Amino acid sequence: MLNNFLHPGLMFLIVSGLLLLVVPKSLQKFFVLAGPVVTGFYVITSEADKMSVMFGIIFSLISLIAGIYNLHVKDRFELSFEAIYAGASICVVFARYWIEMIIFWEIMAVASWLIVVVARTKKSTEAGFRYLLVHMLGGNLLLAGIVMQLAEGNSMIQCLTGNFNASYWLILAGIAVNAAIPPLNAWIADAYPESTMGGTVYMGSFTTKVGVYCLIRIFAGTELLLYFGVFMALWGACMALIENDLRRLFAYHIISQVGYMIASLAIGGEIGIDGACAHAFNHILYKGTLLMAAGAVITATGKRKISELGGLAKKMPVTAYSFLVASMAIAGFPLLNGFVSKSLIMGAAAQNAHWAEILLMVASIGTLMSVTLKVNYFVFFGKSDVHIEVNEKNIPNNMKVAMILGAGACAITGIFPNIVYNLTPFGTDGHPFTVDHVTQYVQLFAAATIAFIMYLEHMKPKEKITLDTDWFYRKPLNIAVEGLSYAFDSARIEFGKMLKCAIEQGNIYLHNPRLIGEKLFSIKPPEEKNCIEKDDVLQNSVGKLIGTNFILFIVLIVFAIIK
Amino acid sequence: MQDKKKIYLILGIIIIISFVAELLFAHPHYHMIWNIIPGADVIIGFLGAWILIFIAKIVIANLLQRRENYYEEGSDQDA
Repeated sequence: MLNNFLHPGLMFLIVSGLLLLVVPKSLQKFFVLAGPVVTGFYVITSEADKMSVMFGIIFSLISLIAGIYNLHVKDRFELSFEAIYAGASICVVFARYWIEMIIFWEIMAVASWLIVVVARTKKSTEAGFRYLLVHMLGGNLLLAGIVMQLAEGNSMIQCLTGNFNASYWLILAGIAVNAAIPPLNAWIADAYPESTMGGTVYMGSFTTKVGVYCLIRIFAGTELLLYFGVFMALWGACMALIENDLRRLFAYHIISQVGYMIASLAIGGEIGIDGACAHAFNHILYKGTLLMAAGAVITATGKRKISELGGLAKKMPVTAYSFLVASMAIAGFPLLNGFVSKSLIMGAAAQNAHWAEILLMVASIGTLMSVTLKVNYFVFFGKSDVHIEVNEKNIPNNMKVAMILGAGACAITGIFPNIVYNLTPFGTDGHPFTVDHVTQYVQLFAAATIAFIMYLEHMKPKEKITLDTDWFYRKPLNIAVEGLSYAFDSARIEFGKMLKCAIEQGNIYLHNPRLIGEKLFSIKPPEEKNCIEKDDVLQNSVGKLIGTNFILFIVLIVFAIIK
Repeated sequence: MQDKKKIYLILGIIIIISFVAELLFAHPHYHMIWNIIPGADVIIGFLGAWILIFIAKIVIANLLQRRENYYEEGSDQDA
């Protein structure tokens, strides 16, 4: 009964988010875990459609795991913002009306911005500002599209595929920002790495997946998105292949994996939609684990560049093996969850878009090389040339438990794929463990590993950054804004100077009109005097009269021209 | 170098086993050329890996990679 009145996400938002701001510190841990548990129960018993429930379940589950990961965190603001963010995300996936959607969408944007800036570093503040600008742009585009929908009398959220009107494009552009569709993708790699360790886990799980959910709900079957999805899958993998910053690398992998989801929903049909939902579900589990492991590495070593890390498997075994499992899952190794959902996506592509199938296979190879092989070799299992101080005491047990839970969830949903398939909107069975599926991935990965090892000496990332589309607003737009600001400021100052000079000069002539003659016709006055003769009352009055007449003349001319 | 040879050997054996398994037991659901020919995925995997390495390490790296303080330089001067 309560379900009819209250969003499941709203429960989370109130129970964990707002109360965390006021409860005593001794109760913080309880409320961090209570929110996801209560919400999860509430989601399972809700009467919403299967897709909302599926996203609600995975959002609650990852919030619980991320909450465990964050149990040692004392900062109530960070914990509260994360809970509000998660709650608002769940509210969006349970929204039935456009107006609900946009309200929680904006709460999500503000809460996620606060998660970035709560890291309280110079970089996080700057990245957070850029993040907010991009998301406000996206939010406003979405709002404009929604207002048009409301003006047409459509208050309920509905599929817009095929309606190529202004509202369609505005809503698509607004959601594309959240789903990180190029060229609106750069905020991920810019902001996510600057957040706190726990904050990154939350951010990696919600914003883009809420975007994917909305794309499925509103734009499923849109062919245009197939091109973007395939491009994202390849582009993210290529960028990750050369990236040096551990968390930026995973940010690019979010783009790559979201590309799979978008390609799948663009193909549409039951298998395409189920593929996108299943991949979003699985992606949240393995990406959460990867980001948790990356956070643990940074916490223990104080370093975030791959070029400064190496040989950590012996020093951080729990982190290393949790990471290994999740990294194999993201590539699509059989018996892990990535394989389960990729089977659906590949099936959808094989039926309807053959070119996409082969390109998505190549993108899988990119994932294998850039995460499973590159990070595992250069950070955990390969030989290290440099001595790295690892302070494993910095990693509390709750972080290790969360990583083990994440890796375990990847394995369980990989070994028992029906757990995920049964949750999908149409319940499509991907039949992942057929000989042709398994041998396909085994052959792809074995051959790609040979190529990787052949080029191993050059695979170590360089200490450089890679420019993305944020370059446009960080360099040329920045220069343009600074230049315009400087130009306007200079013009204001110069104009002020000119006006002041004109008034001063004019004042001289108004006080003594004879000086005009001296200036223009070189008529010397009979004797040298000061320009302003304070004692000459007549000359002063005449000057003012001439000035007033001149102004009146100009006014009359202007009036005549206008008439 | 010895390690590399061992890995090549292991991967070679895995490819041969999977190839034989595919030849004997696989029943492709789809009928594009890469679904039908046994071992086609080995070629896709190997060539695809080199194409991605070329695009990422040669093309993107040369076009888009900059020194690490590329964005900070301007703001430091301002400060």
